[in-house]
Amino acid sequence: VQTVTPQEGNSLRALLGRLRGAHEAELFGPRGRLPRRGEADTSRTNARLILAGLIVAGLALRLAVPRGIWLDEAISIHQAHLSLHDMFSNLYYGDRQPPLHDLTLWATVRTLGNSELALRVPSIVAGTLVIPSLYELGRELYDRRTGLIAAAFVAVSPLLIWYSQEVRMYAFVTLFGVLALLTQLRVIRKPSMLNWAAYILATAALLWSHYFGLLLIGVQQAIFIGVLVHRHRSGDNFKPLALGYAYSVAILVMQLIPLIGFAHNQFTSTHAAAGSPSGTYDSLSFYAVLANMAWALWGYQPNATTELLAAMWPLLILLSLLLLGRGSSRQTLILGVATVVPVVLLLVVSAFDRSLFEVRYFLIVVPLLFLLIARLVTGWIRKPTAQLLVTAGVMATLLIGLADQQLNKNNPRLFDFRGAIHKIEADAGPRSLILYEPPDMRYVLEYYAPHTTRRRLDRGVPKRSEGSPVFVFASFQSNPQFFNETNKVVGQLDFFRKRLRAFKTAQTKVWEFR
Amino acid sequence: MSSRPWDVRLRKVTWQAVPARVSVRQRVRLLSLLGLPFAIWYFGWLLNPDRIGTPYLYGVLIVAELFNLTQALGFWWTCAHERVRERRPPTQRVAVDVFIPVYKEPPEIVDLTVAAAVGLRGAEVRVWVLDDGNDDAMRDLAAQHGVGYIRRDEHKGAKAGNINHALTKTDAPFIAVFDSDHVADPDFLEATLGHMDNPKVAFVQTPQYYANAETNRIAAASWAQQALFFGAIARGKDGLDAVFCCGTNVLFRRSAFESVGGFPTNSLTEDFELSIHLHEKGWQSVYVPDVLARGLGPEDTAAYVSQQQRWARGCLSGLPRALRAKLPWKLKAQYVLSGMYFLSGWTVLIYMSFPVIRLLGGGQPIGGINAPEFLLHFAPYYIVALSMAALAGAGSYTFGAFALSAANFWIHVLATIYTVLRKSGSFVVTPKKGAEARQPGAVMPALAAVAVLVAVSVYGLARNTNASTINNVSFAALHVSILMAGCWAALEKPRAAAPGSFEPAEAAA
Repeated sequence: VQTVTPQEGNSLRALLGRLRGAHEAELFGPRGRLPRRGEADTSRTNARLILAGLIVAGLALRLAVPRGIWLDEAISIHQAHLSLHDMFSNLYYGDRQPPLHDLTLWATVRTLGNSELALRVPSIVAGTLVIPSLYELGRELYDRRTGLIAAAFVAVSPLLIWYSQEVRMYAFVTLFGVLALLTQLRVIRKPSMLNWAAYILATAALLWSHYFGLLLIGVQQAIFIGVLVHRHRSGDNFKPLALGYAYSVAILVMQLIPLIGFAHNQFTSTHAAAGSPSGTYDSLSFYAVLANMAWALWGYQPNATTELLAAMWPLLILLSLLLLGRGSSRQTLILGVATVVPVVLLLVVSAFDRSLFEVRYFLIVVPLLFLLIARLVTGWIRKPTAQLLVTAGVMATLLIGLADQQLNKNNPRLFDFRGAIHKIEADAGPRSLILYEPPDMRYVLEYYAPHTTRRRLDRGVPKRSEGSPVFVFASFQSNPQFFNETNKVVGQLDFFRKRLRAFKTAQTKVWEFR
Repeated sequence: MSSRPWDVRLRKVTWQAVPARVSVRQRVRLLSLLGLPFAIWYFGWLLNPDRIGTPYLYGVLIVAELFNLTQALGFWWTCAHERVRERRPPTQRVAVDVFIPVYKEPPEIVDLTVAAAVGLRGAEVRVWVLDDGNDDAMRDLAAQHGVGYIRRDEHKGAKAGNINHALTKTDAPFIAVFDSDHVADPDFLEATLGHMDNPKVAFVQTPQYYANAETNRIAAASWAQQALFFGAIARGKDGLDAVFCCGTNVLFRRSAFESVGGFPTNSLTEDFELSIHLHEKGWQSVYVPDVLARGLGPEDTAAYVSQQQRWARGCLSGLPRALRAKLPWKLKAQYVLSGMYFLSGWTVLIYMSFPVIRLLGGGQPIGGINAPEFLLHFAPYYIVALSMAALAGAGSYTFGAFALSAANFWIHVLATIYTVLRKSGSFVVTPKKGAEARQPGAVMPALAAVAVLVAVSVYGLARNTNASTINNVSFAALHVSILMAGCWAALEKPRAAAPGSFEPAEAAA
């Protein structure tokens, strides 16, 4: 990769450059350097204006939430309504994630209230902040234009928007993952106290958001070691970086000790999540990998669409051939490693538990993937107009994917519990009884219909005197256990009672009996 | 020195002949640890009779895949024996005849070649312009530089005949040969002559570097193909004592030449056959991987096609000779592998035909499986094989090189047919200057293939849009993209070379 040495005209900048050390420029290229082939980068003012526009657009898309709360979100909401002690206890014995997002949600409920929008605020804010963070990472690694293109992609990225709207920790993981990489690069360039503090905070936030944050943190340790070995071999002064790195590792270990105990208890006292989109949960195959890749780029699509997207795999051969002889800078190598390795590690882990290879668990790499694509645009395409056209083209496909994801009722991730419960409530009376399946659906009912009488479906068929009308409210019917239980109870109710109606909403079935 | 002070052949060499850190030998050996089990995994699965879809298509696929496997294994084997020779200066003052065979090339191109040859250090240099074009301007050029000039009365045997004729007129114990466009570094002889201290060495070959690779699309792609050969492959061949002569930038021992009666004149690739003769006689060959001369690659598609046609015809017709040769098996295998490369166009044709047949409603080679199962077996092997090419070539092998080669698949097909039919070919000198107009005619077969693939894709999509159709259309799109990338230089308007600032070779050194 051709690099352009920064102008020496500004003596202060030159002095700072020298203080940073020549090896840093050699290692990552001069900061904020010009794009390849000598074209001028986007000016700072223009970049700020465009970025502001992208943030506003990204925020608007994240605020437009067409779906209701689903199962996992309802569990988090339930936990957030408990006292702090009970919430930790609930997490400790009944869940499988570290507590940072739950703590934030706990505070949110007490400050902003219990509306759907209020509950989604932490994720929306984190998801929106990914846009400027990725811009900054792109600028740090390459140049403003690359940062802007990457920011434009994540502003409309269907999957990132989906999880920016979910009352779960995934948007946190994405944001802190990007920030962890950004602060790490800054530390490598300039190992100041401030940069180290930022790096340690970002990795801590990542770690306490989701255990799979460790995948990226592991890669980061490898990057640190690689840089230290490189500097040692080339005779550069590596001691300040090594010292800071040793401190950061010590802090990381201090966090890991309690967290490992916490996680161990969680994983021994709970079972896996109730369900996942089809294509990923049942078996680990190349189709699952391709489907997850398609989802990572274009969001959750109906199975038929995903199948067609996966059928385009020969185009990956074209991509692999296009990469021949392209070479790569150390920046791109690091970015590529940070993107690919967590996914590969997750694939390895999935050999033991197939449900773990799911795009939400490696959501952390999605913005990095978009940054790589942005680099591909600015690195491979010479003319700015052509870069703009290609960027617009990619964004158009993302927007189509977004529309389909948000509006298509066949989205495998869409569970319309809200719609179903609203219809139930319309017919429900004071003696109504709701039988729900799976058992965790009680949290959904607790949120949407807190005053209704409800009972787990696996507790058996209600007596004739119990409840009228009786509603069977079932989801996750692709799970054989849930399907069989539901089928059995509905059959019995059909025999003993009169079925008034049955209806479906997305991935939810309701039967009403008198 | 030259009438073109900005001549690209004076520019700094941008190719790093030998990777700086991990040697290709180590890279390939390490990757082979993965590649071999993956190859067994894939072919063990593919060759299971349960995989047979449409029998004749399956048979064709197996032939293509086994051919590719042979090429891949041969490539890995070669690269795993990499030997990186050092330059070796002469230990005594000797005389060297420097031959520059010319045939109607522009004098302004030969001018710099002759001037550079005169400047060779390390020996008593006698430069000879061997003019087969009866060009008086060339005679004047030789006189201007004060070098020898040899013109034949009877022009038989093309370049081989020209050199053989010159052998009878000169008497130095060593002979260096440079094509008319190849500008020798002053230290060419200082780097190679020392290897002749071993009396068994017949010739010392050095890379054929294309200095115009940075200014011309075709030259760049062509050079990327050359770089893989003159990089990892040639060094690997050297490790197996199987380097063959490439006709230029080479230093010969006269006695070796004489022992086999000079260049064979009945071949289009006289250097390939000469090497077989020499190795049969027990002579050894040496490869010095440093760039010691800079030439000009083909600058337009027609020139590339002409060059490739000559090489394909020559090497394919040399295959039977290589198979019959009385050589150690390693040497024979290396010659056969090199010759077989020019059959690879058939595999491109075969792979292109599969989506066409499928989309037209025909069968498919593999049956009863789904894409994940195929990918599970194929992808690891493919990824390692591709990584091997990328790592062995140290990044020099590009998509452009691959696409140019694939788009000219028909050259290999035609060359095979001509060779089988024993149709004679003629030696055509590769033009040294690019054409000034588009050359769609030079890529017509590839464009015809593109038209068929596009038409069939449209037809397939019109019939239905299920996953199978989309998959085959994606394959068609893959082929179309590669073919169009390979054809593009012939279809775009040629750009005039802009003289600009450059880093002179001497300064860079």
